[in-house]
Amino acid sequence: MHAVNLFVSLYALWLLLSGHWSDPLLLGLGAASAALAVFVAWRMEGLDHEGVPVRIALRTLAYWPWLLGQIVLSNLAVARCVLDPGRIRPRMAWVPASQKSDLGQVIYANSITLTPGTIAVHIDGGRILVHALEGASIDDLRAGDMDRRCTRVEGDVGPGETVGGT
Amino acid sequence: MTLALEILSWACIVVGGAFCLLSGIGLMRMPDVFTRMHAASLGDTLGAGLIILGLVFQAGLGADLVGVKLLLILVFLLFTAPVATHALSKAALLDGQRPWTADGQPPEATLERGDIADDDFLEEIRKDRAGGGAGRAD
Repeated sequence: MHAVNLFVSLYALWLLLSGHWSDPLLLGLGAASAALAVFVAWRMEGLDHEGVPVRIALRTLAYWPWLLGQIVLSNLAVARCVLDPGRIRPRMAWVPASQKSDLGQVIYANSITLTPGTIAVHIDGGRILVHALEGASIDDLRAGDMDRRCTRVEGDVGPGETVGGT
Repeated sequence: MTLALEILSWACIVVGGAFCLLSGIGLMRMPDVFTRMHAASLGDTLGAGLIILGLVFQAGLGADLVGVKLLLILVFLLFTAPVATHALSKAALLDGQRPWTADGQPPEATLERGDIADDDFLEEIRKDRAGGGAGRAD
């Protein structure tokens, strides 16, 4: 099932990148290369809920616009710090992460790092070590808005998908 | 219509370029490696994002699919940039860099033993550092 999903999305990506719609030889070669990529992924044992996260794809798309808005806001805050370095109050602190699966924690940690002004350095159980340019960013993260949204993206966690599982 | 599109496109490219410039200035002005990385992420996100958006307005989402490819570049950039930032900050911390703070106090949390649960990878690195790490300059 994961193999089929991966093949379909890889082939769609190939069609988008190549722009060939009619020549059967090229279409066949595209299908062959997508199949080869799926085979390699299977050999690497990457064909699981993490390698092919179809289950959360739609909720991820709903999450991105909010994340983009946050990125723009924190970009402006960091730009202000660059123009006036006296403003910065760097802090390093633990922030709770309520996600249950590895994938959910990666989404949260990557979101933290992607917004300028905060970097996720380490994940330890249910918490993330964050370095922040302005101390207030840590308090914002601890308020948990982004944490809740990432947990919602993660959705229901099946058995074998929890932290440390394979 | 074309004129409006041109203006929008160039506004995006110029503002994106301004954020890249700010990112470079920040890289110079910030006090330590971690704060410099915050400045660098300006160019990674809004800098690159606005420039690519401006280019999409130039290219259009026409039959040659250039716009789609540009957006794919942005998506992959946004996926990979945090991984590099995370790896760099963790490497700096494990190599003994102390985060700079405004009042000179040590940061409220670190990767020291006792502050985190057992971690084989970190333990390995500590052992490596304690042993002098053959071939290391320091």
